[in-house]
Amino acid sequence: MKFLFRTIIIAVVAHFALLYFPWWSIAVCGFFAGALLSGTNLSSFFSGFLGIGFLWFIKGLIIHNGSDGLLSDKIATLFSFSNGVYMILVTAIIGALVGGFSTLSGLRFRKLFKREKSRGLYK
Amino acid sequence: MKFIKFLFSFIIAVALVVGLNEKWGQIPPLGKFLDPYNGFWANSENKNIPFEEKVVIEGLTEAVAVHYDSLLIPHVFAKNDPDLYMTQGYVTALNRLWQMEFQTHASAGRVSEIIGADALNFDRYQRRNGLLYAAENGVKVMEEDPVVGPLLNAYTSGINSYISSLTYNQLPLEYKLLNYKPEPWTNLKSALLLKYMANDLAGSDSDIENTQLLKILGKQRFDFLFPDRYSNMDPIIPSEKQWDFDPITVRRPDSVAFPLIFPDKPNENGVQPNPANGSNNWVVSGKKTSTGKPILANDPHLGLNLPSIWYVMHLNAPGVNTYGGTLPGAMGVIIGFNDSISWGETNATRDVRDWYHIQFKDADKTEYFYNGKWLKTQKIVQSFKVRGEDNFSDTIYYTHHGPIVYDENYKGENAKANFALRWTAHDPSNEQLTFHLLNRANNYNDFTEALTHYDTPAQNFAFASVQGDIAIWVNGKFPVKWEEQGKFIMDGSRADMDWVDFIPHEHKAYLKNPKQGFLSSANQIPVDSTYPYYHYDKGYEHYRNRRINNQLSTLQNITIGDMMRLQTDNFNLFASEILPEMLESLNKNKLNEIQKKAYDILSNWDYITEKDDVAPAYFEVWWDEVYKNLWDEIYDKDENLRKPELPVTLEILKNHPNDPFIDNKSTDKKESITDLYMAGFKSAVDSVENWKSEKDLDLVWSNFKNTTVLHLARLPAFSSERVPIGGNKHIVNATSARHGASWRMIVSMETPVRGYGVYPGGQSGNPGSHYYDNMIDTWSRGEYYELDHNPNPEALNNIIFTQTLTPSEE
Repeated sequence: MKFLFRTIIIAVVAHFALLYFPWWSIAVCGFFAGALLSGTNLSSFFSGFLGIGFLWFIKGLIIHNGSDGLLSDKIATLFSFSNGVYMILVTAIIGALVGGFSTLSGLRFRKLFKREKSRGLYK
Repeated sequence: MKFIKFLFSFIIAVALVVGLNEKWGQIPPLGKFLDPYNGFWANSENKNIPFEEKVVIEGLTEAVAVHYDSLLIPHVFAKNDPDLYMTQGYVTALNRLWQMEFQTHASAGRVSEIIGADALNFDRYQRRNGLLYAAENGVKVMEEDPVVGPLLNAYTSGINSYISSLTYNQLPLEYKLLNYKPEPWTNLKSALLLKYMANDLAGSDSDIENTQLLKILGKQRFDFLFPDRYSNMDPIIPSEKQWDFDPITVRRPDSVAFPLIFPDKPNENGVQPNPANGSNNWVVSGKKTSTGKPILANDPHLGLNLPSIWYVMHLNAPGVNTYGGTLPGAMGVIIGFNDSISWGETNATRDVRDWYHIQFKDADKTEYFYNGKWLKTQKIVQSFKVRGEDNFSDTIYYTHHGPIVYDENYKGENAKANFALRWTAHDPSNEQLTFHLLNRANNYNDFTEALTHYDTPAQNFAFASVQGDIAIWVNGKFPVKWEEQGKFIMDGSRADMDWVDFIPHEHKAYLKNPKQGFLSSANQIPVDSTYPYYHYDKGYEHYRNRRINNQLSTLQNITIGDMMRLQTDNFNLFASEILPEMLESLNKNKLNEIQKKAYDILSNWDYITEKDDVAPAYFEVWWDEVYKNLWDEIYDKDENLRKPELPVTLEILKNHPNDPFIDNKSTDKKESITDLYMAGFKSAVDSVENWKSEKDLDLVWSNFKNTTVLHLARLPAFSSERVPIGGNKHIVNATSARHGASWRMIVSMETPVRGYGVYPGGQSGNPGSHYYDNMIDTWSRGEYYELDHNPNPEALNNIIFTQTLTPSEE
């Protein structure tokens, strides 16, 4: 449940961030989501991975379909792919990787401070 | 431990962000580029028009309406001239910004800044050839001109208001792909664009190669193989023209000795413009047309590129209502029409570039010998930014002739090989004023007045008016020369080798309302031998012009449809003059089955070079083989060296069977012309067979010649390959592999004036737009669009989008 919530939050906030800020704002979104919403390493990583990956996949898919692949097919040729659909996948994977690692590093940042507290407990 | 875990994941995240924000070799910055909100996806438009309906442009005085029609051709309606040109600048940049900047970077020798060291040799040639120097000279004249100056400022500020409004996601695709940003436009860039065209059309000469050939062949043989004129030439100005003026005379010096020293392989990197840059235009008088009013036709032949060299516009303001092809970066319409006149240009090819061998006093190169004295050189260090590398510096020395293009640092063999270039394009001139006046001209007198301001590149201006006048002017800045002056490299220390004067405007070759009822030009020799000025060029066209004149003289009751058919005429006059003999010389009994089949295809050919024909493929390869084997003596010396023109080649094949060059040097046997034809035929059939087995394509002419409209950055993904179209060089439809009619326009001067046009590209410069290449199919089918220049915006047909530009709010 928390995983789904975090994933959706990342996708929605990143969507709005990208309307006003450069592409790397997705990493900022992921980082804050990871830092503010706790979870396991795996759950945080995949929240960012799927949240951004899904967002970029959907956005790419909408543009690809809306334009009959006119440009995505040409860019695919530049990247030695046969079809613009592959550009949607590459786009989604690149976004997903950045999303995943930034969310994970947000979580690890959060744990950094938790560690101070727990250390006091066991002393 | 937790800190290390944090650091580990944080470093990966940061490395991804930083790494994907950078360009790696040819790979664009992937994060930035693939971001579907701001990266390349944001340029995916297809049929969408992403422009805003209302835009504030600082500096406008009144609101301007821009109506885009279904081809995305903008119809601009402004209330005054500065607003008109500010809008032209804005609209052109909105649709073609990357191209505008790239072409002017190319002109200025700045391509290395974008693509790196691979372009450095090209850039150095551009600077040494003096395009930046010429543009710096030219922009001063334009800015000082009371008419052009303020309008040029308005044009520049219109482009800049677009550039300054751009955010990353709106950048043209090529900027995202190559990861750089546009810089502000300047008046100098407009001058650079004009010099880019001057170089494309008047930037090549054969003086250096002639000198090399003179050394190899000797004068007698050179003159035989490279004559100034041929017997059956068909000049632009027909023989009825009387030259009723006293010409300026220059005396040929008593002892002319051309120094037989030359730079090494000047054209090795293909830096010189394509020699096929040429064009057709013609005008027919009302006596010969179905409406009783003149018709003008023009199709400039240039490299076929995307975005197209032409951007079509309709410009309307009080006192002007003009329509036609504009050049992104230059003001006004360049080839077009208005409510009273139409005009069109072809290249008036003539040797306006001469070379002087310079002798320096010492290695400092501060002084050179001239007319018995030592004159000072001017030294200018040119700096080149090279992407990803240190800056490069090149020192260029200027003499009174012009810049030293070739020296020991650039293609000169030693310290004695220094060559200065004298070129009309370096001189200050104000061609923009010509186009400003042509756009507003009402009659023949206005037209000739406009031409007085035009220098380079020299053009054959065709003219037709609603009053019923037709004319052609061979117009531009031409030096008065003594015979053979500048045909070879000259001795730069002799004053009698310098140009002393230019042909006065009224002495230029022109004709108005000829008895024959038509006039045409196709880059052929301008005049016959009665013209009192010496004129020389390395390669006058000899086939398109005769075909056009032959057709125009027989046609009567001419319609627009007749003119469309002539512009797309595929008759190969050259083939018709040599192929029958080539076929006749073959001994059919010595041919195998495949060769016999090719023979039959060629025998049944009607010389019409249609896209689906097979014969043109065999003919072209066969002819190339014959040509190469005939001139193997010259190919062996230097592959890039000039070879004799087609008319001379045909003359030798037909009338000089014993010429020593007919023998193929690489064999022991002494070949005859029959041997030459037979060997060429067999090897042509072989190479066509090879082509068939290599390519998985039907053997038809359009597949074989592979006409490609190539993206300016040579990216195949953004190009259009194997365009199904007939024709070839020396055919009226001069569409070869990379070259052809870059704009076809036909205008009938009836009331109201009717215009038709098409070009191999589209109005948008964005490869992600439907309008990027949507006219190519129409163009290749030989069809046209009607050009609607109605001065009443409400009456315009097919308007799909209107943008209103308003002055900044106070």
